[in-house]
Amino acid sequence: MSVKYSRGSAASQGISCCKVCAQLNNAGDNNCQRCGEKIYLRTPQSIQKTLALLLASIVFYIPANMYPIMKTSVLGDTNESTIFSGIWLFLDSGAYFVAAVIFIASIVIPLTKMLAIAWLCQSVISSKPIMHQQLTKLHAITEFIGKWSMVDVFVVAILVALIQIGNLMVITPGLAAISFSIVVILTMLSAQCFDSRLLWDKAERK
Amino acid sequence: MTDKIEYSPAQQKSQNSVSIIWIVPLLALCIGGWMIFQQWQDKGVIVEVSFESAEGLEVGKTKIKSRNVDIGTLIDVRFNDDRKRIIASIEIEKSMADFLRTDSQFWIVKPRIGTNGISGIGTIFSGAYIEVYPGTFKSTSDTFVGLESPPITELGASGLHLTLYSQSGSSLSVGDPIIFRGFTVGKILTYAFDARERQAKYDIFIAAPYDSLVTTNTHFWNAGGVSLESSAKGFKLNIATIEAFISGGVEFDVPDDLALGEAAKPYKNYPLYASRDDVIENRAYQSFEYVVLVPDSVRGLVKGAPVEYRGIRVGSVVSPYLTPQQTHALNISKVTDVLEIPVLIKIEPERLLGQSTTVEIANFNQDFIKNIKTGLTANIESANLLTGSLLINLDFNGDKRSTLEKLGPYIKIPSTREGLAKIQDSIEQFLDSVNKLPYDQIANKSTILLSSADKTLKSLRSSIYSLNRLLKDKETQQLSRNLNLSMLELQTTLKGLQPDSGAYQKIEKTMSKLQKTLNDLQPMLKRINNNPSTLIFSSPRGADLEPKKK
Repeated sequence: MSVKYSRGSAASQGISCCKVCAQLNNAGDNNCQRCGEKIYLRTPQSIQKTLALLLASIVFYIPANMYPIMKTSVLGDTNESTIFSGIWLFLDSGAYFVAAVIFIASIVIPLTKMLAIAWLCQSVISSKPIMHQQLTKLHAITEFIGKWSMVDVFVVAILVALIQIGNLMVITPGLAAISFSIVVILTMLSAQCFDSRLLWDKAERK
Repeated sequence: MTDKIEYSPAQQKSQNSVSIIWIVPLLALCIGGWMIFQQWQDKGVIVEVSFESAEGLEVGKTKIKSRNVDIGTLIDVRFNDDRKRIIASIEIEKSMADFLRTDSQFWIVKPRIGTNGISGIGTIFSGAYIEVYPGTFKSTSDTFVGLESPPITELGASGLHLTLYSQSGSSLSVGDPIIFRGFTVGKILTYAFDARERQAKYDIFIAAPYDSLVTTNTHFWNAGGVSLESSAKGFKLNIATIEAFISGGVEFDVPDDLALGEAAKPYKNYPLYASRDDVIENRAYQSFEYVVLVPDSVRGLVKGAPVEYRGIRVGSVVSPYLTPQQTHALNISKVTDVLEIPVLIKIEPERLLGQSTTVEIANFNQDFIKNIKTGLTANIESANLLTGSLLINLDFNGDKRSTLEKLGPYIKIPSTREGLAKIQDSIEQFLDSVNKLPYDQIANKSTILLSSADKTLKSLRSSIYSLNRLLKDKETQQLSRNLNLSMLELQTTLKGLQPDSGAYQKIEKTMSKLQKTLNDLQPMLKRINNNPSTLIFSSPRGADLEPKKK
């Protein structure tokens, strides 16, 4: 085949791997021999899809931090808290551990994930040589870590479900809770859309 | 074997074509943009309200309410430039921006206990909040001065605003009730002391529909507290309603002798009288002034003292005496009159006629002058012996005809000494009768009485003496000694019967023996009782008892 694919890769040897069942197929085949899934040597428009979803997630990240994630009404006294105000609240009251967990889950992880994906895309697009092994590892980590951001959403969901004590205390989810879960879902999809095989192709061009 | 699946050949697509996935970020942008737009639109109007203290205010938590509906939140509290007040920045919801008229009123609702009751109890749990009364002005504003206490009446409430002024500083305060025949129909809004006019001013508000009760002839008086009056009618203790007693208040009504009059115009001034009686006594009447020359002391005659005609009040004393200059202006010509004290009085026809026109009043005055000619005289009488207050009484003095005499600008009402002379006469009469008492006879009779009493006492003394002798007699003394001996003998006899004496013990022994015997006799008596024949026949023997199986 062409020099497009790196040496040692399946594509260079006329074989393409099914992403679903890992069956090796002929590079010319459209569908997997075993499961019938469409197979590609390289996922088409992978970078575009990744970037588009990434962009969408960034857009949703703004309201996720701006709007209140949770409304707590205690005896008619309604309190709205955003992610940041929640962290400050826990820091103020000395619950450093909880503050750290929320900070990591809702700020550090999503941001690093977005940065990581952006970096991966950038390294594929740019003509500069890359450290493909590390980047592949980064991609794996990104895909793995993404779901842990959902911790926040779960906390809100559980609190909302548990605390509905009429007039005494009611917790309702805010707009940020929805935005934040959209952010997490979009970044996960974005990481999935990224075809890590593209990194290998770049490695060959060194 | 397995079926060969037919696959379509690979279709090469250009890698550079734009993917449909870009709709997602576009959509996200749209949603995000809409969200931000929504928030921007929801972002309320920020205004600043200054208060004396930020007591109970919590940034981000304190709500702005109007009639218990949340319309905003407190977002910041800071000091003003001279650090004497605080400025609360509040965010009012955009749809509620209508509340921010120039004359809107803001105040902090917190628990308050006052004479007007307890309010704001709910805020003990929920925390203080800022209440807004929307203004009525067209113009809007973004800086307000907050009230320190809730406004007494709602802005734009329909009713009547009036101003009362009072010379005496009475104990009225903001929120005190305006009472009409026991009903609270309004409140005092503000009070201030007008330094230039030297009088207290009260802005009052009478709520609709009671505002129609106020007419041009309405008089207001202070209903508060306790007042002790000493007047020509004696002492009088006034206590209004309990509420007014504690906190003060203002009552109003139209005096009985006046017509209702026309409806009052807003922001009119009304005098505030000290009491209900003050309204009747010291109301502004149309009056005519006369002068009376008094030959006696005017001690006890005060300004405002009543001028009566046979007990009917017709006027008041303007001045119980005149200054030398004023006296000089009277041009008193008669030598006898010079030493007399001129008293200025005024006749108020309306006290008799009720509300009347100027013509009627002038006619009354003409008649009055005629009466002076036909012998109407004035004299000073004691109004109240206890307080020594005086009044001036008008009456016809027989058939005396006098000519009208003018002293300066005033017409003179002739005076007599009748009133005081009467009192003096009666005192003299009393003293005379005291004088005329037959002291000699009384003295003689008492001497006789005393001597007979002396005799009686003497005979009493002899009786006591003979009794004494009887008691001292030997026989009488012997009698008691004999009695004593008999008692002693009786005592020894009784001693013989005591438990440790022989006689007693013997009796006891006999008694116990008798009891034993009786006990022994009991079974036999029982048998005889059951079967009396045993006394004659021996009793039959019963069959032997045999043990039986149960």
